[in-house]
Amino acid sequence: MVNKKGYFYFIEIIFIVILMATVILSFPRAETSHVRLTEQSNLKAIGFTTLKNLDESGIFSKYIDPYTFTNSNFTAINTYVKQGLPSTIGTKIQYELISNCYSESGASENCGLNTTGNQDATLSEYIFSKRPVPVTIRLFSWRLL
Amino acid sequence: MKKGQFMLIAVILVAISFSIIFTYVRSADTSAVIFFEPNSRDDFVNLQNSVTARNAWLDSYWFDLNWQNRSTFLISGSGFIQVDPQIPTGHDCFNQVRVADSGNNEIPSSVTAITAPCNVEFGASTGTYQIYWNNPSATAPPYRGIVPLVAPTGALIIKEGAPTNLLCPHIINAYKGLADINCAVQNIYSNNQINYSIRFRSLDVSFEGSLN
Repeated sequence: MVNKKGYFYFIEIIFIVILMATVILSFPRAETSHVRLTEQSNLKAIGFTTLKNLDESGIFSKYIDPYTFTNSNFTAINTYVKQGLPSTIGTKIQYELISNCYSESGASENCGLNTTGNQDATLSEYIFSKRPVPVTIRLFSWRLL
Repeated sequence: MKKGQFMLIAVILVAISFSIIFTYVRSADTSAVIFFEPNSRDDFVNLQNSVTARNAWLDSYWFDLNWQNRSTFLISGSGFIQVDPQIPTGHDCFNQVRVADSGNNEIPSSVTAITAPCNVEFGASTGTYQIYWNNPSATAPPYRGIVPLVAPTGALIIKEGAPTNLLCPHIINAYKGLADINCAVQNIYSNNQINYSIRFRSLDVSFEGSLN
């Protein structure tokens, strides 16, 4: 049986633990936690590797028009990119030809990602240089689950 | 429980709480978890890869980067034909025109005038041919002659400039927010290979030198 003095110390420890837990849990959750950053770093690496593999296997050369970018086969590129990634990863592709950005369907759009719903998205970039005017292929990806 | 033990536990709890706070919370501008900042090594690999891949591609894409322009034609049928490469008036046709097939093999050709406008005549069969023009250091090849002007045939697909200086602006635009970046064409050497002078300095990558 705990004596009276020890009992109060025990109560004090409980109070400290509760107090610290309250303080810590009241901090806003930040994206840059260790786990989150590791996860995003992994996503970035996976995205880059996927894009690099597609280039090296000739997919981009085959489906990106060398002269008129908007004549490219965007549907085929989307299919290859999405099939190269696990279904637990959400993606959005964007193309940039020096300040002119195009969506994954080839429509003109603002550069960058509308973060609504995709606050944790990470960005992988790949420069496709095998055409007269190079294209940066941006792959925004995020974990769905 | 003794007071010393309580103090020890309290100190451990404080240490744990600080550890959690430092790995969990990020201030507005400065990361408290600097060790876990996203790295830019993949981006530098991407830059290197884009230079290497472009050099490999250029060798098959362009006859010789000393030729500043080319006009690409699709020819149907075979025999000697004339095409109009739409060289701007006043340009040297006699010395500064070459014809290449789709495999970048030079084909003997003649021109219809010493200076533009001029047609170019060569022996062709069905396929794609490119007329390269605008190379101030070029001299007339031994086969060059002047032939009478006839109606041009063949469909002009595209007229374009040598893609020598198009990668650097793209690289700078792609990485200007990520790193202290600079890129310039240093020189062109054999087989259309370009040396680029690159500076790329980010939090975890520091490079200054040439890439090809």
